[in-house]
Amino acid sequence: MTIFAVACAGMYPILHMGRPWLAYWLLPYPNTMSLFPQFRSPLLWDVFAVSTYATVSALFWFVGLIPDLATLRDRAQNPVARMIFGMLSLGWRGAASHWHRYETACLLLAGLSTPLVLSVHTVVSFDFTIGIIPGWHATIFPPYFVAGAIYAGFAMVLIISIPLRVVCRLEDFITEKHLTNMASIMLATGLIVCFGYAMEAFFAYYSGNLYERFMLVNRMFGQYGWAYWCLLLCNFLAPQVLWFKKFRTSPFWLFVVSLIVSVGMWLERFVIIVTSLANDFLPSSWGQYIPTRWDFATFLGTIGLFVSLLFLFLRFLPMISMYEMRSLLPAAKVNGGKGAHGGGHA
Amino acid sequence: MVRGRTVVAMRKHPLFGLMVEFVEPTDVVRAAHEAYQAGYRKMDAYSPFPIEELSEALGRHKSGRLPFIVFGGGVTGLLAGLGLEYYASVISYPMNIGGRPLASWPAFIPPAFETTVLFAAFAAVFGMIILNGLPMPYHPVFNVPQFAQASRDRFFLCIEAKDPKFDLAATRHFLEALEPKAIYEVDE
Amino acid sequence: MSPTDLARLDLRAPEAWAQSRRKALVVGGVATALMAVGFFLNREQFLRSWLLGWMFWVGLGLGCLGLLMLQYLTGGAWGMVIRRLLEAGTRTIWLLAVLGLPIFIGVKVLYVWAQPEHMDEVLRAKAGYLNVPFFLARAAVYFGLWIGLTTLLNKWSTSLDEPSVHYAVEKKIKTLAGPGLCLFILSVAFAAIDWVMSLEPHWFSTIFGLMWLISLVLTAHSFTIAVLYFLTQRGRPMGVLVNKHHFHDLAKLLFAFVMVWAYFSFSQYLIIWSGNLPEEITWYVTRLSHGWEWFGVSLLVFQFAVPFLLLMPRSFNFNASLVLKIAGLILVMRLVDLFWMTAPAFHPKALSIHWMDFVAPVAIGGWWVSEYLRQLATRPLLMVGASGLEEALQHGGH
Repeated sequence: MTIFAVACAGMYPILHMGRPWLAYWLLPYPNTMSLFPQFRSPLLWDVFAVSTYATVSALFWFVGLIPDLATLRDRAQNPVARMIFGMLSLGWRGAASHWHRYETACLLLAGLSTPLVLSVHTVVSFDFTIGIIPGWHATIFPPYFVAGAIYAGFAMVLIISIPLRVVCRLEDFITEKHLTNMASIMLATGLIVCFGYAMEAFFAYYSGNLYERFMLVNRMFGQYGWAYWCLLLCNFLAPQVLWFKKFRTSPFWLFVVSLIVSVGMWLERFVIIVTSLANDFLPSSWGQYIPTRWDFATFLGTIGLFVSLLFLFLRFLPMISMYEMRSLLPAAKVNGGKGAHGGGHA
Repeated sequence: MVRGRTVVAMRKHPLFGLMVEFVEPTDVVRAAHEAYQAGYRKMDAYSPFPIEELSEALGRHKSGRLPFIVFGGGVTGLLAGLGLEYYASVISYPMNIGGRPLASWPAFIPPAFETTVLFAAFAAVFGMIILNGLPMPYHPVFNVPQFAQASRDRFFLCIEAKDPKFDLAATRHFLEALEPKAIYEVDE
Repeated sequence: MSPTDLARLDLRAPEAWAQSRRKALVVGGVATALMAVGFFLNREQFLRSWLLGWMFWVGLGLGCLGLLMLQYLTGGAWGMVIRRLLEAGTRTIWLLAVLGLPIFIGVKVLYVWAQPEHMDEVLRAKAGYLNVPFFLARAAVYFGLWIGLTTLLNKWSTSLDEPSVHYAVEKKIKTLAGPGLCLFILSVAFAAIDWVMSLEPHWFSTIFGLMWLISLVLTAHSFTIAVLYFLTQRGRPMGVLVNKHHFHDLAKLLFAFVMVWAYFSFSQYLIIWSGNLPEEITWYVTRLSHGWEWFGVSLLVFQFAVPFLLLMPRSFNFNASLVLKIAGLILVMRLVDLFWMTAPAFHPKALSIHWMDFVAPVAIGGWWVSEYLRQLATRPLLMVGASGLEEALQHGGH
């Protein structure tokens, strides 16, 4: 999901560059023009962050698949499939010494990925806050964006996994407890996002700054005021139902709330970007943004790309880690293992 | 349970080792432990999922070199990132951006952090793969057809012929005493 | 160990600590007397130093409340062994309210926005929020909320001392902890704005509330680790029940909190530095010049780099005494951070440390520590009847 989302997201910077065939100019490489990109720009930090994120996620994903690819290799009837899976699984044979290093590597990758994930959306927030536009230049943006990302991410995971578990009969793997826990995290991150809204609103007043105050009034009652109130409805009011156990434990309601939250997160990006740009410092530069059919087409296109990649993945690769599931079974428990002293004789 | 096969027949390929198959994870851990106690060192066990006790029973040390390699990778990434930024912003293409100093270290931190994580991740992934000796599409244990089950639901222990204590008859006798599901001779 | 076995153990705080209580009282009393002398010598400085000391100890008490509610919500072995320690911390909040009275009485002396001679355009725009009656009313609301949460949480948890498990009580506590934590975070954010940020009323930073929150959490967590360590040094029963795996968990959490603090601090700095707006940058310009910058550097080194490098290797985390030393270092650096945040507001042009800056934290701390130890002694150290305690104690205990 991560990698497909990054692939879709990556489309936009490349397309919005105007000359996408020159995209490689963003990278700091020795060139005939003796130029280097400018490292004080968050847009360049974004290049580093997103490419690191895409690379590390892809590596982590591949590494996680190696033992399962070995299983698919051993199960394959078709010699072509066996060779492909064999090549991909790198000859994995499940040796204990290999497993030990493998687990260490996965643990380290997980430990590296956590700050990486936080840093990526922090750098995205820097795209906004490093500038001085009112409504953008707020120090709370990094944690606010990270919480928003986790919020939207869990909503997406729920949207995918709830129908998936019904269609592919995975109810024993993706249990109701998993869904309930995801709902709790969604509620928690949603509240952090709302804390961000509250802080922005309060500080628009507290700053005493004419432009900040106008920004808030404009957001609420300006030409895009409808977006702001829809945003509060979707991101603040709707997830409050998750306080109640009845809604947290019902897959149907979770699906509905997740859809609303996804719409809400889109609205949040719209409110942040469009309202601040349409009405910034100088009234002479005020304008109105009306999306064209090409904007909609790009958006729908990336949704299509995401869903296609997802379905391809679900068709050809194990969607749940097989080796991890095996180790959860009671049959996998080693008797007299960790609890025994000395002998280990069962 | 003695397998009634005489060992006098000419081998087409040299012997790599003897392998036993188990159904329960507990059995393979016990077997590995006893093999280690008996003095065998050149051996490995195979399972469809990681078993912590197994690698301990085989005498592997708890901490490997991988964490140090990853840390080294991270430090390299940090220095490389900062070095690149310093070179680009101060030496090669200095520009006055909003009056900021040329060596503007606060702005250098985000990309340097990313390169740190990137290099550390490469070190983790490629370090793990290379230390494991992968990719190794061919390994003698794959010559045993039943080994395909190792990635699904069976557990194997293989003692290599290169082990100083290895003796075909004695080792076979020792392994049979562990009550495996089956014993195989693994060809090179 | 089953709950009934645990109930038979003597789970009270060590009696020898009653002596420490008395010593803390004496220290507090002497230091307060010194502060009284200082009051007559220099009223403004008295209030400034008192604010510094008070914010440190308030942070400790409030951080305990936050961690307690967080722990009820998330569960986990790390929390089961420190719950009663955190509760004892929360029961000192009433004392902190009392000890804060000098500040609320001296609002006009301490805060620039309350002084009519400093009123200007910007402050007039904020006067709807920054005025003395509203300020005091807000403080009353904050303490009312915190003491209310504390009372309920502590009252309901007494039934968790009985060996039989009370799921209904735990459910009730959990139901309170969720919204309670939300209100707590909101109130802490606004308290930070009121008490610390408004020292420089022309400046503002939207992340300040969260920075304050992580500071509280760091302080409380470090302090609790230290207390737990000294309890285990006493031998039975905590020395036997609590093992290095619990310290490992607490150390990992401390590591995470240190990273979050560094993340918030750095992003605030980077954003303000990049924007370079006159209304924001003055805060950092003051704090990175005229000698104040050494505090900033020491924070980078001792609040971030040293704990980060020492808490990262897994093997170090199991060493309880090393974790204790890091926790102690962090506690000291919290005070340094607070000083760096507040003092330059009064002395922007030159570095200035007063003897009262050292005595005030000791004065308030003496009273606080003695009250903390008194509260710690009133209840057993482990919630025998809490669900999950058995697993938590078995955690890693091979």
